[in-house]
Parts: sequence; structure tokens; C-alpha cells
Amino acid sequence: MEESGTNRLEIFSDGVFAIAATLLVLEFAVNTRAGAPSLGYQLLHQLWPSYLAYATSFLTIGIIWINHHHVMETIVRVDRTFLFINTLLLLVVAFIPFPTRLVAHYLGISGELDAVYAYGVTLLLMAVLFNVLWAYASRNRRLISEDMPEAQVRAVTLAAGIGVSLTALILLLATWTPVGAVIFAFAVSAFYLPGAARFDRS
Amino acid sequence: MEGSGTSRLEAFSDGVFAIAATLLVLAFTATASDDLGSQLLHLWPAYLAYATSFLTIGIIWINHHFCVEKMARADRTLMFLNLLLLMTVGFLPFPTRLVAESIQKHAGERPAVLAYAATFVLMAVIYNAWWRYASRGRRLIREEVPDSAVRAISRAFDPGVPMYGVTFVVAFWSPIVSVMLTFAIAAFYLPSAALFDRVTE
Repeated sequence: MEESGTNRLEIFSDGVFAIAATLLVLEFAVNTRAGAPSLGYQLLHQLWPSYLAYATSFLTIGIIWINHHHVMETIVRVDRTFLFINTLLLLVVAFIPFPTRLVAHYLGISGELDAVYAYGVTLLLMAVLFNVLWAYASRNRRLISEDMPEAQVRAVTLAAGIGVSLTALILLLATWTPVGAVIFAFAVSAFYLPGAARFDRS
Repeated sequence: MEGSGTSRLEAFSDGVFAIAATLLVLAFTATASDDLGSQLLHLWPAYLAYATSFLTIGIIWINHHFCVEKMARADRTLMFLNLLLLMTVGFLPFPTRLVAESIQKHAGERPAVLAYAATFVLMAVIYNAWWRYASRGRRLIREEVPDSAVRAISRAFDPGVPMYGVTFVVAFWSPIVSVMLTFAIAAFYLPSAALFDRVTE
């Protein structure tokens, strides 16, 4: 199996994370046709699903980027299988702007359940692929740097596993309240920020 | 002819690969309607085109990575060929969207998929030229890279143009089968690429 450094993988992945996060803004749209509600009303009253969806997706991409960064710090090399799983993960990350737009447009009106399902499935897929990526890298410390303590490897495994359960909860919640599910997704991302910082210290 | 390291070539290429792959998501459009669920299911051509293009860009990127690793330097001709390659990669989101939209609307599938397949053929031709230029007489290859490794990569490049040529021809007969074939090529190239890696050891 070939070995290679991780530099280009990081540049490519960072590019996808950054661009996906930046494309999220394209979901914001105001109605400029004659007879449309005033701009102020639209911005303050009608666009709240867009703000919620934007903040949730942006924070989620940011956190997966931080965690990706952390994973790359613990490994010393990459092989082709790792690159392939990483490509699948990025495929899902780059897809996020689409379900985000669906949530922004459909929350509060008919079709919101399908929109939130699409959003939740995407986030779940991302969490699962992140786990697969980490499981591949950490199985028998395959790609892990020698000076990385075992406790820290286990901490990442635990945090990644929790991510999958929390994301699955978003889907379950959606059947009961789609709006609540998106707010929960936002809370998960807000929770994961300090959480990530904490497992760093361990 | 000047020679120089490959790091800026790699950084620039990575940027284009990443942006092109990320822009593919713009192929998805849902129109305002009551039944979002069935609309999302009817988007399957968009999912197929998105996955096909994303995986293909990912594979080109992975192979680019391993090829450039074998090079000691880049010269102006290689940079020019590299630019042509990136031009076709950066173009890919457009035919991807055409494929997604035309199959959904059952209108203009053939020209859309022909444009898609033609982009892949062009990409494969330029990618081949890029590698042949670098490897001919070991022009840009590092001294410590064994001949067998260079030959193994060249062998892996061989099927690219004929395979995408087949998808182009198939598009005349069945546009959807052509896109599925393109997806299959991406899926096929992954393990095969891993295989030719092992041959080099």
C-alpha cells in the first residue's frame, strides 16, 4: 500500500468545506414582484427559516471541518482507501446547500416534513461517513501517528459515535415536529462546538 | 525550458478541483409545489449526475495527486496541459446540470448527455496527453521512481479514452444508460486504481 503525506488532501478538503459553506448564502431570496410584502417585513418575519437553516448548516459544516482537521492531526499518512472515503464524505458535504435551501423554503408550509427529512438524511449520511473515515484510519491504529495517546484516539471514536445518534434523533424528531427538528439540529451544532474543544483537552 | 517545483501547480489544481466539485450541487432545483416528497424522488437523475461527476472529479484528483508525486518538477508545457485539464474539470458542472434537468423533464436528453460524454472524452484525452508528456522518456519523473511504476500508471491511463468514447456512442442509443455507464466507470476506476498502485511495489 502506498503512503503519502496529508498536505494535498487537506487543501482539497478545506476547499470543499469552505465553498460549500459559502454557497449556503444562495438560499436567501426576497420577493421583488409588485404586490409583494415590504422588504422589511420579508426580512424580519418571512425569512426566519432561511436564517435558521443557514446558521445550522454553516455551523455544522464548520464543526465537521474542525473535526476533520483534528483527525488529520492524529494521522501521519493517507492511503487510497482513506482518500476514497474522504471523497464520499466531501460528496455529502458539498450536497448540503441543496437540502438547506429546501428547509429554508418549505419550513412552516406544506412539504416541510419532506424537506426536513431530506436535510436530516443528508446530515446522518455525513455523520456515518465521518465515522467510517475515522474507523478506517484508527482500526489497529492503521494511519495514526505513533505519539498519539490511545486515550485521545478513543475520545475521537466516542465523539464521532455520539454524532451519529444525535443526528438520527433529528430524523425521529422530524416526524413529530419538523421545525423542532431543525432547531434541535441547530442546538446539536451549537453543543458540538464546546464539546469538540473539551475532547481536545482530554 | 525552466523547471520548477510542483507545489503551486498542486495548490492551484486542488482549488479548481474543489470548487468544481462543490459547484455541482447547483444542478439541484426544486420548483414550488405541494408535493415536495415526490418531487425529491423524481430528482433521481440529478442524484445520479451529481454522484457521477463528483466521484469522477474525486478520482481525477486522487490520480493527479499520485502522478504529480512521481514528478520532480513541472515545466511550462505541463502547466499548459494542466490548465487545459482544469478547464474541462471546471466546465463539468454545466453539462452535469444539463443532464439532471433534461432527464427530469424528458426533453433534450440526447444532446445533454452527448455534451456530458463529450466533456468526459475531452477530459480523458487531455489527461492522457498530460501524463504522456510528463512520462515520455521520463521527462519530468523523479530519478528514484522505478520504470515499472511509470509503466503501471501509463497502463492505468490506457482505458480512459476508449471507455468514455463508448459512453459517447451509447448516448445516441440510450442517454440514461450512458450516464449509468459513466457512473460505473467511476466506480470501476477506484479499485482498479488501487490495484495499479500495488503493481508498482
